[in-house]
Amino acid sequence: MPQVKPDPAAGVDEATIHRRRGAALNPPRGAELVRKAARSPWAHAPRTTVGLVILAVLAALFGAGALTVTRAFRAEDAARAEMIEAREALSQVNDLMLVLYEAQSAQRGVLLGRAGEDLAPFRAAEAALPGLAAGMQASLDRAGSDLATQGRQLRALAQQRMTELAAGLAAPGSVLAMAPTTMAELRQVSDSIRREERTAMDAAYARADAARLRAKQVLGMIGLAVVALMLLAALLAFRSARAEQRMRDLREIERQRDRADLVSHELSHRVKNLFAVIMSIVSMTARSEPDPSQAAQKTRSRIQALARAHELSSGQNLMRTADFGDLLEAVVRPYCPPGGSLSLNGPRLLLPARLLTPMGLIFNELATNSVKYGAWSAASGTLAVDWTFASDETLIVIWKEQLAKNEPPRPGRKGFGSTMINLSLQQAKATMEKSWGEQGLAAKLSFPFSRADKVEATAAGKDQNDA
Amino acid sequence: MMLEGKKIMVVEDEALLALDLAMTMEELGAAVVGPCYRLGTALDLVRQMKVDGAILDVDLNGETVFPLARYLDEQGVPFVFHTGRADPASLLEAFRRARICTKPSTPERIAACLAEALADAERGSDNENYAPAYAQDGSSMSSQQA
Repeated sequence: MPQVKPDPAAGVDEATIHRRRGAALNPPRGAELVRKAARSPWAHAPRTTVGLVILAVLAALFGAGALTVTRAFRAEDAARAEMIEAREALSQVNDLMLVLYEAQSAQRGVLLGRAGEDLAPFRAAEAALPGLAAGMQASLDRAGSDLATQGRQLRALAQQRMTELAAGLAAPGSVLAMAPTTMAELRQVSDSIRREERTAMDAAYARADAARLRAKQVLGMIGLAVVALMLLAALLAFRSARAEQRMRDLREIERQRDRADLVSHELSHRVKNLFAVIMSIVSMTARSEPDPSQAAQKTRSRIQALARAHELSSGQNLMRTADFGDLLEAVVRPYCPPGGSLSLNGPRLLLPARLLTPMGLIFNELATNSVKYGAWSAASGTLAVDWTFASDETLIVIWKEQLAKNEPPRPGRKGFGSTMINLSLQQAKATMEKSWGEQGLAAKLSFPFSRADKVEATAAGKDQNDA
Repeated sequence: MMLEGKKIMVVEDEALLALDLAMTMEELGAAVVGPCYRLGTALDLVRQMKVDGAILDVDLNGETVFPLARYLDEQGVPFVFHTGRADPASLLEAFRRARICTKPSTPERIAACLAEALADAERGSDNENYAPAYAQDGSSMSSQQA
């Protein structure tokens, strides 16, 4: 069976792409499995070859069947023709003999009765004899040399007998003196011819029967062969379908594995990036905060926010990561003081991965500010975050703090926290408008989504309240 | 450190990291161009002014920094890739003179790496009128590890 070699170019290409993408350290291992499967005898091209062989055998069988049937028909036709000939010859011999008997009885009648009165039947028989004899001779000539000889003999004897009968009429005295041997000879020859013709007829019957039986047997065998071949073809089709399924499964495994490789590389990339960001958080916080314990506390809180924001992203889908509501829940909720409240309200919205870090940092800073200087600095302060996804693919977030009664608003000082908010806003291409009212901070943040972010927002509202 | 008075471009899409790098460069006496968060802004800037060196993050919000790296390479400007990519070898294949600092790396280390790249470039231009990197066998001009 022909072996199909795996296309080496395909593997190389894939490996190159992976190298270019900087994704794969190992070549795709699934390819090896697929190659192994290709070596399985039923997996590939034999299907067409075997199919062709089956077709050829079927065609040959049909040809043989047609030939056998034709030959059987021909043999039967020949046998039938022979039977007809034999029957014809038999009836001609009978007719000849009958005419002779008629002539004989007519002659006897004339001799015994009045002369001339019943002569007509004799004359008719006499006139019919040569034609009958010639016809009989012709039939027997066709039937073979032996019968032809006997036919000639019978013809001669018949003519001789007719001549004798005619002579008897002319000279009535000679009748009794006539030798009866001629008639006996005639009977003997005609019986012999009849016997032979009957034998020939029986033989022809037997041949026709045999031909028919042979045709039946051959057709039966061909039928069996056809059924067997059809079963074989069905088996092959089933096996090749199974092999194909196995190949598909292997390719699927390969795809999944490559995907897993890609995911793990992307994740490792992300982790390294996060470490870099964490290191910069440490050094930047240290730069801005002279008090070591304060610096440590702030660093911890920022790293924690990052951790929480990224915890939401799953490895399964790299581009659609966390739901915005979940992100707020994870980053902001932990700062809610006992007795304070947090209300989150907006549609379900999956964030692109690029926004996790800046959003985590921004909302962490806003929440810590709220605890330090805003609504959550007193026990009963409330914070409401509402968001909508505008038709121009912009996420609008309204951050609204409500100070506990008789708490004066006090804007925080400009520290590294606000620098970090601004940097993160820049990174996200986002903007923030802040305003301080009687009730405290109100901020409107706009995050434009790029086309590559493939936003998925659903109307299912997210509305949670905490007392 | 020989970054004193040099114009160093910082291209990095993590804003905090960019600021950290920029501040470190300034502390070392360099003038920072940027920091740039996106490829487009960086390309615009580098076409308007000559820079002496650059720190490049490879992946910028779904784009690669390669067009900028190619431009800098053609101009003979030394640069350092600061990347979390797992295969620095393929970067060196494309940019033989480049140096690589794998993420996470301290700003000091990146600065040292860049300083070496600048020193190499100066030696190179003293020797032989600075031919394009693609034509060279690379052994004298690039170092595999920074």
